Amino acid sequence: MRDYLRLMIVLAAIGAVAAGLLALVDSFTEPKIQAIKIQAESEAYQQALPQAKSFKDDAKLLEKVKSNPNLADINGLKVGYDGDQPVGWVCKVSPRGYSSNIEMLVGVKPDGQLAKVIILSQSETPGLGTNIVNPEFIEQPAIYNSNGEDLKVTKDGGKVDAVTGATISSRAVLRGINQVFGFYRLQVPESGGGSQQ
Amino acid sequence: MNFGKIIKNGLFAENPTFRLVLGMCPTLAVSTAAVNGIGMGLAATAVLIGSNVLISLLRNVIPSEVRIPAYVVVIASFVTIVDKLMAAYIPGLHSVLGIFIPLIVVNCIILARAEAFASKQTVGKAFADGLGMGLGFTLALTCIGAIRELFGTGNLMVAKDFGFDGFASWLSAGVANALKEVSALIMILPPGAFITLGLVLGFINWLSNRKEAKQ
Repeated sequence: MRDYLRLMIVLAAIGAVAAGLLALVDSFTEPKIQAIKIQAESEAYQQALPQAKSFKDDAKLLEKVKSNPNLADINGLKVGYDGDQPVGWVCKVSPRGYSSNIEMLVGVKPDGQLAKVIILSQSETPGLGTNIVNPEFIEQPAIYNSNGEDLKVTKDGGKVDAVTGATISSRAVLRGINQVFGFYRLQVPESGGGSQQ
Repeated sequence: MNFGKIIKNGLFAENPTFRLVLGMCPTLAVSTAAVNGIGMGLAATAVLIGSNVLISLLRNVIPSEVRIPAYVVVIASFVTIVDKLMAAYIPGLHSVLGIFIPLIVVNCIILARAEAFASKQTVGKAFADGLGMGLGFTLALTCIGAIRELFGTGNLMVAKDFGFDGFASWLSAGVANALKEVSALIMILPPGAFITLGLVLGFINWLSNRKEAKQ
């Protein structure tokens, strides 16, 4: 009986010390990790819409987007401002790829042109689908020169070259961008006055 | 047994992947490219050294009846602390290696070495065993990763995070494209992991059987 007690006490002591150490490390690393996360995200928004100096949430607009079934992949949205002049929007979209949801930020200017597409995270097939983050694909002129018209890969009769061996991942990225175009067309009649201010 | 011998033992004679056949989940999942193998292997090496030293230090404190749960607690806490510290102070490295670190907690090589070696040996020897086993794991993962990457994508050692485009960028465009043409996608998909691992294990067993037969 005394032996069992000894085992319990030793194991409990090890657990307690481990828990204490974890709590200690967590107490000073967690704020830093959160700060890094927030900074990385704001930097990504900045990259997606370089014209903007600051970003604001627009809960009403986001609500409207979320209630539209055609824009189901858009799950975040910020309005970019230069001073108090709105200079565009950044949408957070996560279309379903081949093996993961592709998280990306899409910046769109007040005239409906794409500012920049940033892929935040994805876990597509290594060596194939992961190549969607390469500049050869994501920065090709065909994506940025569409004048707000929906994008398609060449296989589907469009102008965008898909990543070799990863048509599904490429289509997913374009679907995300097209939803942002859809978002632009949806809200432009209303804020059309805003961009003329 | 001296330290050099312990390290060599981990690398070759008792290579955790090829000879002990331990840690198969990370081996199959991560070995899609040579660089992934190096990343996972080095992260596992750091954890192995740390956990081996810790377990060896605690070997007279932990009663043998409850040693397994004690090891699990010690190793899991150690990995979590390393993960947190890396995320907070070296976020760049953490964003590259971060995905491998939670995988290490469930890597049975760590527990196997704690049980089979570190709990019975001095701190120095436990350190050497961690280093040798870790490097052996790295070697094995890199080999399998290189084979799968080469046959699956026609390129080798692509490391975008370090600005390296792989060996195909050194070849002429014609040769690189020809390699890409003959590569078989299946090799970097999950079945390719089983095929490669099976063939490599078979080859190594054939080699060692032949060596034994000669003796």
